[in-house]
Amino acid sequence: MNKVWLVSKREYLTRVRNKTFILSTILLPLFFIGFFFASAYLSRQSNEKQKVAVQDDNGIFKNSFQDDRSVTYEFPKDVNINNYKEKGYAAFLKIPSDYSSKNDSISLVSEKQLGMNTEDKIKDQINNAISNRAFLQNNIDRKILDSINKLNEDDMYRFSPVIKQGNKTEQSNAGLSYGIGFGSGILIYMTLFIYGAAVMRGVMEEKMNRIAEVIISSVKPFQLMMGKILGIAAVGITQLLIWLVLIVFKFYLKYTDHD
Amino acid sequence: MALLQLENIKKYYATQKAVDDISLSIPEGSIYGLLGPNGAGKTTLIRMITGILYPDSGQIIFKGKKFNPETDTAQIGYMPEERGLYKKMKIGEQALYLAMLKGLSKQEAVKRIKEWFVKFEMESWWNKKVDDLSKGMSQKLQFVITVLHNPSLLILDEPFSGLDPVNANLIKDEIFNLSRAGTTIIFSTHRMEQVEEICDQIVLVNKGQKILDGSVSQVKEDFKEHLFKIGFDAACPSFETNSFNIVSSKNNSSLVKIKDGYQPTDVLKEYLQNGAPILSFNEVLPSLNDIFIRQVEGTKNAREFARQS
Repeated sequence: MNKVWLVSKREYLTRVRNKTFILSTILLPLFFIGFFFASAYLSRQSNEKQKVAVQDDNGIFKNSFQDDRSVTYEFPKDVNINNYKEKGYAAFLKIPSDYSSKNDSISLVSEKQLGMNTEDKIKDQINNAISNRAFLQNNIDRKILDSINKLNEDDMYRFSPVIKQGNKTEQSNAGLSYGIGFGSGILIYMTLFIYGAAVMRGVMEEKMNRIAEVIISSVKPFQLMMGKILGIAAVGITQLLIWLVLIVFKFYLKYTDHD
Repeated sequence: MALLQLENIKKYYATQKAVDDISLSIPEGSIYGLLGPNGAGKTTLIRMITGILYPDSGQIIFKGKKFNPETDTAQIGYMPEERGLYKKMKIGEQALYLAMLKGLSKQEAVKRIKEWFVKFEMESWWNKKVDDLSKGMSQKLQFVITVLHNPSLLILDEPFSGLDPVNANLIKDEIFNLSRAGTTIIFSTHRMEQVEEICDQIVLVNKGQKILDGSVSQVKEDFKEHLFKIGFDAACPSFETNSFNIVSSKNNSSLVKIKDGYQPTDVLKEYLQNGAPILSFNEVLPSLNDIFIRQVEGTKNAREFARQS
């Protein structure tokens, strides 16, 4: 047991004293924050307004498409599949006169991939337009239709799930629990991955240095491996603790600022 | 009394018999030479003695009891041929760590490391890293680490490779000191001149098997070829008689081989009767190198080895 302790102490101290430990402790959170901001920035970039030219042979969609923050629809006369780009449109939507026939399809042409979000939005618009048209064709008053549509946009009702245990009741937050579960899963995966690799590198180093033979002639292989795993696990826990302290400290600063 | 006894030790690998039925008895306090060409099984044998490998069959008796790797390794110091140290660790801490793994207390280990560092003029090295050391310097460090815990059995695999003559002598003197203090030393090498100089006893292994063992002088005696070198004051006489053949003659001296059933005095008498002006008459014993090459010759391993040396 004493030897396991010696081995793990060495493994711990050599790693914690190393510059890479300090660097990775600082850089890894920075990297994650950077990654977060970069992805947010990129997704905003792709959210610039896109103009879609619609060729509607029947003219039945003209008033049912609604512009939103990222997609606007225009119904120019002189635009076709070959020149939509020059006229400044990102995509060309062609709705044939008999769109419900199986032989023809509504086609959306673009030079670059529009993105799943945009495509879904366009599809939603088409669906809405078609169902609205069907309602109107079946003699439903336009006013009633509008009020039903309005109902969908507003909150129709309030839904509040609550957890009740004995006398204690609290707001249920499935989203938060899901997020915590997901985050912990990623954390477990990352720690296993990073510190597992560290154990492997440690063994590799000893094999390459050839010191393994010297050490194995004084310790049992089990003790060596156990010491190594415990030492590196302690390094990992130290690192996580440092991050935890930093996070707590940051929140503390935030709250004292408000006072 | 034998400190270490091997009885019918075997270790077979998938492709070869690394150690095939070797029995040895290593007397306490002796310097025991373990010789053999590359790939003969020396390292495998040593690894079994140090508890790194377990023999497939056979027994190792250490100090009269069955060898128990868990406790007995604390009494063994092993310096492997492939030197190994942590490159990024400070030398002092490294020595301390390895000494404590052998079971020394911290105070005792520090004390002994300081003593040895003074002895080897390494005091200023404590905070250096192995990366900064030359090959010879790290060799010295490795030796110190091997002997720190005062092992009763010291196993040295090619201890002088990469050392300059000054440092080689330094370590050689320490080996003799340790031997005088009662440490049993197993010395594995294929540098025969070192073996003749250092070892009391030798064993020669090849292809996993023991070829011969015994004391150095005994082995030489066993393999002598009755060769004598005779120096003359003038040109060498070229006559031969029933008692001897001339093997070669050069620069006023002849190498003669005495035939079976005759004594050196017979040869001398015949020379004197012929009035030869003899200056010197010496027996020529074979060097261990010759014996070694002759014994392992004929196998593939051996031929490669003989060409190298």
